[in-house]
Amino acid sequence: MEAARQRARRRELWAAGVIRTAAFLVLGFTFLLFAYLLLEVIPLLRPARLGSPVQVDGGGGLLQFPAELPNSLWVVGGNGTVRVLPQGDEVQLPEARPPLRAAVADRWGRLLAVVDGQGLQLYRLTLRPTFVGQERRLHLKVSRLGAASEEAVRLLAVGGGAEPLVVGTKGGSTFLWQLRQGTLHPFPLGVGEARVAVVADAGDRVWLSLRRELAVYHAETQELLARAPLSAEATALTLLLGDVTCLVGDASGQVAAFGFYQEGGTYLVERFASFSGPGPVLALAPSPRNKAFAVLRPGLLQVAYLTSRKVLAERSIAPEVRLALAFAPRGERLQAVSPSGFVHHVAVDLGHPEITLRTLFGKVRYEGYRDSSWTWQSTGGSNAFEGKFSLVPLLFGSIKGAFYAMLFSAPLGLLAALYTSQFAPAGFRRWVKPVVELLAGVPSVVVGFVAALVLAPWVAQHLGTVLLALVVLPLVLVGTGWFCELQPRPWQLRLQRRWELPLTLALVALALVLTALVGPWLERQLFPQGLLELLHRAWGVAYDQRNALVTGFALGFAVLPVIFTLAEEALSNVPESLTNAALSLGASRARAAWTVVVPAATPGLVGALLLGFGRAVGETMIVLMASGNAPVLSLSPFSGMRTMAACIAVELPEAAYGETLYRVLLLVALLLFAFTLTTNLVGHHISRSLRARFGVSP
Amino acid sequence: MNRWSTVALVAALGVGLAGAQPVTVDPAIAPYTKKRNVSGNLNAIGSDTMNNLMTLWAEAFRKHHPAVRIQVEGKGSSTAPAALIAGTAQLGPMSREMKDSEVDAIVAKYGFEPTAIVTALDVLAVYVHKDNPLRSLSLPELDAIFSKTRRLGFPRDLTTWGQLGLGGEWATKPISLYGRNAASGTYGYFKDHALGGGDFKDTVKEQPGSASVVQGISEDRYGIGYSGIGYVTTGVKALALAKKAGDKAYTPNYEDALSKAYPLSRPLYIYVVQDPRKPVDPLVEEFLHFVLSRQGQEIVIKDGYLPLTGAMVQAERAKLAR
Repeated sequence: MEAARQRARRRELWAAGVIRTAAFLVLGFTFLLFAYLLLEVIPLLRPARLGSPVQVDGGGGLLQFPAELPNSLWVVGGNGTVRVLPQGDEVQLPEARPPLRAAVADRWGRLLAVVDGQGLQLYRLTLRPTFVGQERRLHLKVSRLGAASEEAVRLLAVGGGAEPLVVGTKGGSTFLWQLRQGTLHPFPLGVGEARVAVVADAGDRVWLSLRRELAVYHAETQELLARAPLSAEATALTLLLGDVTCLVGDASGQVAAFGFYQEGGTYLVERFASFSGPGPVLALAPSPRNKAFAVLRPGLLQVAYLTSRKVLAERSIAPEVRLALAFAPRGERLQAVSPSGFVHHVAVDLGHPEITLRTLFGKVRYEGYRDSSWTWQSTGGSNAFEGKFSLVPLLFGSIKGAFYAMLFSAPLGLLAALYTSQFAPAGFRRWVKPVVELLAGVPSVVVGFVAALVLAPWVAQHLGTVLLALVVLPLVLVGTGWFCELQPRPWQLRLQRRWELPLTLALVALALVLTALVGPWLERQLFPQGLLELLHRAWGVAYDQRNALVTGFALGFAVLPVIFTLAEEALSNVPESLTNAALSLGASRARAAWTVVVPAATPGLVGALLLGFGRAVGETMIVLMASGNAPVLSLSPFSGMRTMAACIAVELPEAAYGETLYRVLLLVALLLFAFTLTTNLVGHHISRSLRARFGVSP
Repeated sequence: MNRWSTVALVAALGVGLAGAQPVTVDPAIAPYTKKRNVSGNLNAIGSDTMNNLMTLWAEAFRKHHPAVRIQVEGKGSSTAPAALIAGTAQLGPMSREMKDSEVDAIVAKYGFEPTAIVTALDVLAVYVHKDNPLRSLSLPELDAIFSKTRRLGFPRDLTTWGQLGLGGEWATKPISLYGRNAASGTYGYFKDHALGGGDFKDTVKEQPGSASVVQGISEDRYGIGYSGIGYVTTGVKALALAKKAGDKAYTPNYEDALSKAYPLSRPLYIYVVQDPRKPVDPLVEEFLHFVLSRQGQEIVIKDGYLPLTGAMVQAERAKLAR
């Protein structure tokens, strides 16, 4: 006997130990998960850095441009050669007649225009790193594209990639040279002498500035497309990668960003951002990898980012450096040149420049947008894409989805729980609880699939009926109760015992059938052109098939068991002595339930709702399939949303490890984790306080 | 009836081009001949679009070289560069070109650029519901339907079918937009080539797979969306596309995709990290020779994509010859 008891005790101790260990393991894993997410997110804060300038002798020359290998560059010499440094080999520019008087390259160092003894010459440069033995060297190829015999040309810009253009001034006015069959043909732009100019990579547009004005010309027709006034005379002009934004630097030290817009066939240039700094702007250079750009001022080199409107880093540089600012082809190095021919290399590390609190949560006016907005659009097809990482549409989407889910599941879950615990016959509870819990076991991918491919099209076709049912059903339920209340007491009691449930179910079924029959007819009578169309025409509400109504319903399906189970438990935990006291004082069952049980169980009900809400926010598959994942900011039940959970599911598999998108998605995961953890903890705490109140062991 | 089209979809997966006569492999492409016997492990990590294709190639290749073990993992094109850098894969199938930043990372690790081998062609189709009377669109119109930035220069936003000239019940119906999930190769390709690098509207419903885009449209009478031509079903119709307003519109078929008259076709790549100082790894070389052989290209057709021409195969083989 004693031995048996001891064995039982030992078993108990052992079980307690296992359970405790498991609990600590769960806690530990939760903490580890949190720590992991945090560690992956923290690098978003890594500041940008500019290395200290490395100075090398560029050996003079007209133009210096950085190349791909470490501290490499090419130099155009006055003797008509291009020299690759530091390796030192030299290529003669074909048919150039030295001495060269001027040289200019495009923003990426692929096109070169020079003025020689004859006139204008245009070349294409290809620099490719190859292996010579074990050593990497740059292989330079120069091909001549065309020439024009011109005198006294001042070169301003070259560019246009596949359709190269040269811009310059001659005799007090500005010209554009287009390449046609190996010859550069001049076309006057019909303005005075421009000071600075830049050519778009597509070769379709030319931007230039003269006096206090910025102007955009169509390259093919030389037509003025748009212009905008400037606050000071421009000293530097460049286009950011993607050719949508033009940066204008001026003598007052300001760098302004101008966007090019077309609206109904007319064009417009508008300033949408500006950066200020000490000292006049000497040169500007766009990054070949993103929306970063470098600004050179006397004695100061800065790197800034368009989206975040932030100067990322700055570094003082020898004050005589005034020329040839450019990024190396992979964007990892900047180069600037002093008149004495010394080249300064500065290593660039941008960190995650597009992420600031402002870009995550504030409104931003992005390139090409007419207004500032909260936008989530994380990826593009190329580097020229400006990432839009506003978390607002995702947070909004999660809350919107959970709200509509609660709209369905909260009344249904709470009332069902109230009925089951207070009114239902004893046998009812025994089978309804397992059935509802079984509901929780339906895989959410199945629910989502059915919602997206069966429910969504059906609701779109029968919207009037669905909306009618949403009004009729609650009315029928309340009406039935009211009708019962009106009956004499003995009748009521008889009804309650046997017929309450079947009667209500029958009435609901009848109401549904009637709605289904009347609905379409009513819709035809009231809205002859169709309800969807009326919505669209009268209120501008576009009905989307994958919308909050459908998602809310499907999501409610997943949340219902949580709310029902917890609420039912809370209500059943209210001691029967309280109810009995009320009933013996003559209160009806309904009155006892409303005035005694519900107030006593309120914390438990709130806890149930909170846990349901947490479940709805965290649910992924249903939302992924039914909501459409459109990151819109609209409260309308007829539009979709993109929730945090679905966004992670959709985008994380394709995000490269360590890139900005990857870290931002983990930040979203961290927010989601913190949110659900908080709601769950609060919910559980509230439920537990209730159990404690009635002395029920938790 | 409608919901059975989902069943039809599953049946139709992998069926080739809509309407056009069956595509055959260019007779100029030589059948596969073994250069040597190879053995060992070959890992491919990358595109999910090409997952099936890679598996079919691997199975057929193993019939010639039973001693080779090939593992194919298809989680997304973005996983290929990372795997090539880590050295966990020798082959990186990608449904898009590598981004410059990805090339940068490989150059930083190996000191040379990766080699891209074009292995097949995929045609993106713009789908509408089968009852939709619309037959063709121009790219600027497509841009104005899908994009909020309208980079291709269409003068106004397009939101209803009536604005595209449809009458009757269609005239006032809003256009319902479907697309692929962000970061998929298809999404990026469409953004660059149909939206001129601009931004999608926020109202585009992003679907997690190519098949679910088509499913969505077949259940949504007023829907429009884009997806690979291999996913076409009886519930949807592929539109003809013109490059500019007023140009001739071309249906997505093999000839017009090859001649680039149909504007939305893309190559499917296998990336390899090939040191230019060293001979090509014999296992990788044999596999790619198989892919670029007649048998390899027949598998491409079988999987619903388009084979290369003889000239294209020549060019790709030349990249391997060193």
